[in-house]
Amino acid sequence: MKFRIGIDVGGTFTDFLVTNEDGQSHIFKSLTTPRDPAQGVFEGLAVAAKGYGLDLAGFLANTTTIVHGTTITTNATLTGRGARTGFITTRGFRDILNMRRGLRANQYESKSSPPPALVPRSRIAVVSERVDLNGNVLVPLNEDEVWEVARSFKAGAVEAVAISFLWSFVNPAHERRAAEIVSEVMPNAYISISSEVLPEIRVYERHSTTVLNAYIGPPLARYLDSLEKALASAGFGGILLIMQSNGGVMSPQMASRFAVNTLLSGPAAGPIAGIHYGKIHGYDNIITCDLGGTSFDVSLVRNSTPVVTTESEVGGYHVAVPMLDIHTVGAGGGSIARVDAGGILRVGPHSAGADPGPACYGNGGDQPTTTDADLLLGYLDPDYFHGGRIKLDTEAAHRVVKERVADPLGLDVTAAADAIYRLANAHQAAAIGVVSVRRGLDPREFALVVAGGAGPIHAAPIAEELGITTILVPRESSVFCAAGMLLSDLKHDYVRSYPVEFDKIDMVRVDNLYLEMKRQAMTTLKAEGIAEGAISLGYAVDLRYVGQFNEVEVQGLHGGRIDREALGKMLDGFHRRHDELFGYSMPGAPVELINLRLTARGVTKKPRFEEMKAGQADSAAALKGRRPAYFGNGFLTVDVFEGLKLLPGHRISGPAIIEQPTTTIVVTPAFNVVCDRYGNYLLHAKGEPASDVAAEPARKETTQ
Amino acid sequence: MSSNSIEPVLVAVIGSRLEAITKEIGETMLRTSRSPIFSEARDFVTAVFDQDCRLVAQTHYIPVLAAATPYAQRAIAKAFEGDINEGDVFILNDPYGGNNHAPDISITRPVFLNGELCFWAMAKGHHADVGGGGVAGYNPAAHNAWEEGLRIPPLKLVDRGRLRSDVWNMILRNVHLTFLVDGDLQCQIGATAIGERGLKALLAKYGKATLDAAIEQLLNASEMEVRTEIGRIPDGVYTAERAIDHDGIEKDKLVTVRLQVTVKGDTITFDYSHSDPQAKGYINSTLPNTVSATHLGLFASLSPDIHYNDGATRPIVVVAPQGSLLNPNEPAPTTACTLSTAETITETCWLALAQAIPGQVQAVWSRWCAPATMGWNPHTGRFFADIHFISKGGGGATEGYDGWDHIGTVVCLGGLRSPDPELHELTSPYQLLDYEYLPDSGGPGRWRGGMGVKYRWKVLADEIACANFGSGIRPETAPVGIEGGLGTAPSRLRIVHQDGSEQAVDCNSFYTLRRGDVFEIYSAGGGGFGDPRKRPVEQVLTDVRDGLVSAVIARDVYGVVIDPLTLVVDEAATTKLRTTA
Repeated sequence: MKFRIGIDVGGTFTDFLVTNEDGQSHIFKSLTTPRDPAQGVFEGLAVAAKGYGLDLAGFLANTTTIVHGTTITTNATLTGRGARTGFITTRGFRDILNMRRGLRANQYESKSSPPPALVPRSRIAVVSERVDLNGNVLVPLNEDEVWEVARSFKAGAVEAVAISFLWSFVNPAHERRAAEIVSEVMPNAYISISSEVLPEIRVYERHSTTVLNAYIGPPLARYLDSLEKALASAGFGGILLIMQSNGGVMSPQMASRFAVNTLLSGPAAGPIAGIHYGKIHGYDNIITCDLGGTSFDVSLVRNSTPVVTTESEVGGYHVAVPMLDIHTVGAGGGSIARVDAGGILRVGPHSAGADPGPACYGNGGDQPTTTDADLLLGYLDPDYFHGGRIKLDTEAAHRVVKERVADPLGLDVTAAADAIYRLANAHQAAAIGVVSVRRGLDPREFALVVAGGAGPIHAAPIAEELGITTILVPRESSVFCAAGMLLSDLKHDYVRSYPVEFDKIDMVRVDNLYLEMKRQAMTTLKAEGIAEGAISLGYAVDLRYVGQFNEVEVQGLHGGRIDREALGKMLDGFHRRHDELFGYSMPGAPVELINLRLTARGVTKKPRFEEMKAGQADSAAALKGRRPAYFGNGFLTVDVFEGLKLLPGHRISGPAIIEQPTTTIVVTPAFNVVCDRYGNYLLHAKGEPASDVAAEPARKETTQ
Repeated sequence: MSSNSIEPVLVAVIGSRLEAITKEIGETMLRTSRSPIFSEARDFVTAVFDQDCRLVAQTHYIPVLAAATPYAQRAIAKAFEGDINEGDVFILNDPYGGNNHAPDISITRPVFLNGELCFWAMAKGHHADVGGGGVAGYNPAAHNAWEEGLRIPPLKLVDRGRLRSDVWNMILRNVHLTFLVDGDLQCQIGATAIGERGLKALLAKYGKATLDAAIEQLLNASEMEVRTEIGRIPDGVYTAERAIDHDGIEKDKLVTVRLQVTVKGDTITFDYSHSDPQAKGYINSTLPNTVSATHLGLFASLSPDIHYNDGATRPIVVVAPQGSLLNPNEPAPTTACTLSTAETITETCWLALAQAIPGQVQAVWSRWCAPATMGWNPHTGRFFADIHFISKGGGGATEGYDGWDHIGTVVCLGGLRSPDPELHELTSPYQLLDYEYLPDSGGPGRWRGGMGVKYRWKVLADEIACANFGSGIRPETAPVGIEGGLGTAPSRLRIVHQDGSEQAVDCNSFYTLRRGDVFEIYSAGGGGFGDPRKRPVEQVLTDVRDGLVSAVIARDVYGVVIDPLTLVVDEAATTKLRTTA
């Protein structure tokens, strides 16, 4: 039996999804061990091995692939526990990194500070060197200064060194030479240079990405190194792959070198999983959402292709490598509700976080939160939270909602809880709307795919608010990201900046730059064990109208060479895309090229997911009980179903509640549910045509 | 209609949606503008008004535009009363027709439901060029509004969905940078269309009656919130005054803003009656701008959670006599009012409020003093225009927090994004020589003012027109601290010519830049808060180690003795210094 394992390290649980050759999949969980995440990983592997009646060595010996999503780099960034980093940059420009483009996003928050500097000014060194925009050397690199800086870094116990000079993406010679000198003085240092990490125009963004790579590189390299060794000595002889922020996977060696590509290692698998589940029903346009205790993450997927951005922030630090566009648009289940001085109800942006958390957790939280409202409205069962592992305190929730919301508004507690629930949903919906507009998209054309936890409690009203008529809650929603990891390909993004007006493009230079990227891509993917035939290349260019300051990425033909004709087609595509995104285009106006991009994909073997057998029993067999829950204007006594007992083809009409140990699905009166042939829940608005195809047992030819 | 007829949650939900709509308008502007002034510097504001032109929701990317939008909206609605139709889009920039100053062009679109006017969606922003005799809209030599650029009274730019190309062409014929203005006007029109889409969806969902009732409650709630906050300010009369270096015409004369704040219960009055009379040069502040800068000063000192709308402004009275510096008579020039005059107004507000609620107020920020430059770029073969945002100085400290570094003029309150140096070199014929913090520029205090910068660039082309505008280059106009915090040195500017000769650069003056010239700006930091001798020794040491504060200032001003070579604190000497007055 050959196994594939997806491992997602979350805040509370480490999730495992194990598939075998027959397409059967099983879910396992262990508690996350934040200090040494490998411990939780091995505990879970042991549990999984036991589940198959094997010992760990036997289980791992039969495992071909492990795909791992790690939170090492994200945690190091958020907690400020990265490597002791030094930064070398161009003389005269010492502070661009920490200036952060001189922006205070929340302008009226005068009582605030920028996030702490990853590298204090005392460890930012400048050296004499300067290259101009055409790559000409204006000031040669002063190597003596580099030697001196390297020695001082060494004396200062610096572990990682970032090097980023002006215009280095046009002429990287100075950066490379500086790196050589540093590695000679500090052979064990982790070195990160901008012309390798992000050879792209825009100084602050390049600095920030390169420095962050240095800051989180050493802890990730250490972790992966020890994990690989531990797996090998436990009997694993297969391939270990690391999930990246761009929705692809890569080898541990590449991950260690480009650690900045793992900042969304876990969450990036979400949209990939979403695409998979959406495709079952033919949905190409989906919005995935994941509502956790402290955040609400949203991602848009168009034409089964996740939206990629180069403008992300993690912990307030700018990251300009391509990452899936995952927006944290709210404070999650811990969002605090209050009544302001003007008598208006507010929910968020403040959060009770994980500690003390909502009042109903009984950890001393004295502020009403969204989760408290969920409990008071009957959506959550106080005795079945996390499968009964956590007991919820209804009385505490009642008390805080009464004191802080119901009494000030002159409402009864239930109406107040309903108000909190509805306002929280409205905020999330509005935030999804803004995110859509930013991308020039209309949410009504999307299906909502909801990850586990609290998401399915709020999904239906959020969808209603947005005019979305279809919601998909995967059966594996509680290990949503682990599933996505098993479905990901190897993927590497390359970029070269070549700012030039479109009609002055030098095709020889374009060819050379693409050739350089292609060579790099082939070498990397082959080293990762991908055969040439399984490699696909995607070309894209970033264009803008002359004078604009934001580019639009336009995809080219896959596989094909980029020649003048292909560029011409991309120019047409640019005008179209600009119109789509922003409502206007200017054919005839001068256009300029900024970046050439190459995405290289190494196609991996994907697990097959087995269909469930439609049983004889009807849905009544899954009926677990009835309880009052609030819908519309009052409490209704609704059916509560045991989700794991629902079978393909079962239909439920809202209002109803479906419970799984770690997920609760609230089906509002506006929705019907059908259980599809994989056991996923498809909610569709009443009166809208339902996509039932997937609910039917599959035809033979599709199972081959 | 009874304003109590809808449930509380609906009020909050509708409020959330209205604010999201103003953000959607803004997102569209950020992504589609052609001039860096919108997309990089975010010098614009987006707003939704009800049918009575009351401000309902607003996202002010640049706060000093905040209170100016309702004036423009009302002027347009009044001018076209009876002739406002679905599919129309209006334009206005005349400072004497309801606008704040000429470069900020207001574009607004009426939103209808079943033929009834329900809302307006506005996108207002600073254009790279509105013609006139200046550089990128700034003309320090202007004696009147006509010399400052094209004056556009309320006009229809789009008539029932049809672009009025006659009007469009007339506007473009009057500007140098047609390419940027053309793109940015399209961007504004497109952005208001996104606003219309959101408002129509809202109308379809809730109906006009429900929205009206919700809006009434939202406005009243904001009013109540502001009254509560003002009620916490001790009653009394507080005064302050601050000056501008000069008006560009009378270069030896300081121009002074004098403010008397009266707090009585839950109302507050800002009275500028004793300010200087109308100036000859372009620093005169139109009433919309005076009110905006006042609101900026007040709201930056209240809870950041307040929702700015028509209701929030009701408890605030602003008095500025007609014909004075802060409410000039037509046709006095006004372009610099959104910078120098607005900064000065905000400073007086903070210095007056500091007497009542010091813990809520920030020390004075570094003022804008930098040029706009314009000319032919031989490297791109195009005209370019550039406002030198890279020079941004430091922010003032407040109780508990150091000022922010390189955050810029207070009128943007940190919303002004610095341009990227590489993109800057790509579009303008300049080579940057220095762009980093200027040591010792932050005003000393228990909480230190933010750092100003050293910004130098070399000119790589000939005959570049340069209008230097702003203030804060004299000791009298440099940032000051509060509660015992200290001020800073003024900003300094000069040109070093290729032959080595130096030329002092005054504010509000024209220069010509030639190949090989080096332009240098040393911008001030922000003022400090509290006694610098109370700043923890550890923090002073960190500042010295980071090279932000010199060992000399650490000793003489902070009373912390640090060996400049070993960076070790002499504890005994420090204690002695800090205990003796």
